Amino acid sequence: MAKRIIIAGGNIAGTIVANRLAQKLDEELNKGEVEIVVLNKSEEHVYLPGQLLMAFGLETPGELVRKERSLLDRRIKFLHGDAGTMTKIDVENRQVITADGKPHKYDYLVISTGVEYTWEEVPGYKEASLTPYEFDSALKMREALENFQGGTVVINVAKLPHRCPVAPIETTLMLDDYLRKRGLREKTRIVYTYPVEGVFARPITNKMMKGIFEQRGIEVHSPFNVTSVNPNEKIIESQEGEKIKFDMLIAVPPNQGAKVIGDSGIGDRRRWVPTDKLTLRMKNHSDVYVIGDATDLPVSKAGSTADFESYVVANNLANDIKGNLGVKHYGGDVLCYIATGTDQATYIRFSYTMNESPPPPSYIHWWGKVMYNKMYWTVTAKANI
Amino acid sequence: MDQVKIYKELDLTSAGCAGPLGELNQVAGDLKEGEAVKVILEGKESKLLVESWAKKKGFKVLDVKEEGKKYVMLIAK
Ligand SMILES: Cc1cc2nc3c(=O)[nH]c(=O)nc-3n(C[C@H](O)[C@H](O)[C@H](O)COP(=O)(O)OP(=O)(O)OC[C@H]3O[C@@H](n4cnc5c(N)ncnc54)[C@H](O)[C@@H]3O)c2cc1C
Repeated sequence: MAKRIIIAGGNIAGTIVANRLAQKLDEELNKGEVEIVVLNKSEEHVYLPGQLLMAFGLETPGELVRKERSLLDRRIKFLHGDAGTMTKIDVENRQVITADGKPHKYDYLVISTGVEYTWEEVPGYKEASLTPYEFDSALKMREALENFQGGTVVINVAKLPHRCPVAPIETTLMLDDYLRKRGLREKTRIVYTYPVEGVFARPITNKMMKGIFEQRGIEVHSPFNVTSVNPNEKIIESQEGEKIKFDMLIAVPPNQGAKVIGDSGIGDRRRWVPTDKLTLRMKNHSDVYVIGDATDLPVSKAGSTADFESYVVANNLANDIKGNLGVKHYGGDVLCYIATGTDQATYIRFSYTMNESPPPPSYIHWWGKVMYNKMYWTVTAKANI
Repeated sequence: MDQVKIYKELDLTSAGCAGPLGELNQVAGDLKEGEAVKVILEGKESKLLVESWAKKKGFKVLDVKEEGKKYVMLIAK
């Protein structure tokens, strides 16, 4: 019987790891000794990082969506809709149940179910805000910015951790630059609100970014833990007792793991799956790996993290089957470009043992960010390097 | 301390983008009465940071142990 590997969730992490596994298990796939199945709700794959650029009119919606089938190695099976929507991940009985009622037995499972937004944790938040974190809202944000004539813009991060930890900084600095270029900066008060002291929780990046915020005249209110938003009066309120009136609210919604993780009882209270920081195996389950935003690891929830992790998961899982590849460890590697305007950027690269050392913002790194995005469909998603 | 249940162990010796306080802020917020989070930190600076954060937010530091360069702290509601 062929060994079946199920990839639970087929967006950024699931796609990269599935393609990398197909390369590692090339012969076994061709001989029918191994089967790889990707399960995903939708037949479409969305490149979420592009939504930030789209919100500022720097990317078009069509660039951000592809058919998942077209990205996967042709030998990988792909199920979507009811056939791909998981209702239960049953790690005790080594099976996944989909919405069409079908059980899918597996020999190995990779959990790549990502993040879901729990807007309901903050009353009034969704109605009152725009966000680059959701595709439709990013489009509305683009329109709202085009029509914006000045006033107070509040950028708020509801809870940590959230996916793409640098996106709120990028949103703020891109907004500042966007408004300057439109001659509206003088008429706009930009207020950045964040759950812990500072603008970012890593000290080196925090120091650098705080300096840039100061130079640009951006107000910082932190710690600011949002409790509710009044959409009619346009007031955002914090646990610390602050109330800020806004004309536009740009939100980073509360993040949790996918609902199916909670429903299956395999996550913590915020539905993150307990994961070994080196092997990326689910704790206490040697036949299950976890990758991307779904893990409970204190590393960045970023596409680049998923890419770094995919080498480890694909190697170790292929080694479980073939036994001759050795074991790799994930070193906590992360790379995040940080846009500091609409045509300049810096980046941070760090790991479990190495701190970041962001270079001064420049056009070259902006170009790096844009190229990274452009290469996603042809290189990264297809695991071509 | 026998009656305290450890909800989660947070290894923050190599904290990612949410930083030590970012991770802890959330997990501590999820604590129920009678529960604690066990935090592993590296360096005195991180320990002091967490202590001052706990004081500000009204969390109790139940225990601090020094293990080489690392600190193991128990933080409760
Ligand atoms: C605005 C924004 C900007 C960003 N910028 C960057 C950046 O510049 N660089 C960077 O590296 N990262 C960036 N990111 C982060 C990056 O997009 C995420 O880290 C990445 O998408 C994580 O991939 P994932 O596959 O783990 O999760 P996801 O992309 O969320 O994929 C999870 C998949 O699982 C599916 N799924 C969940 N539950 C089920 C179920 N029950 N049944 C079937 N399928 C299910 C989902 O539908 C989804 O397709 C950004 C994110 C945003 C929102």
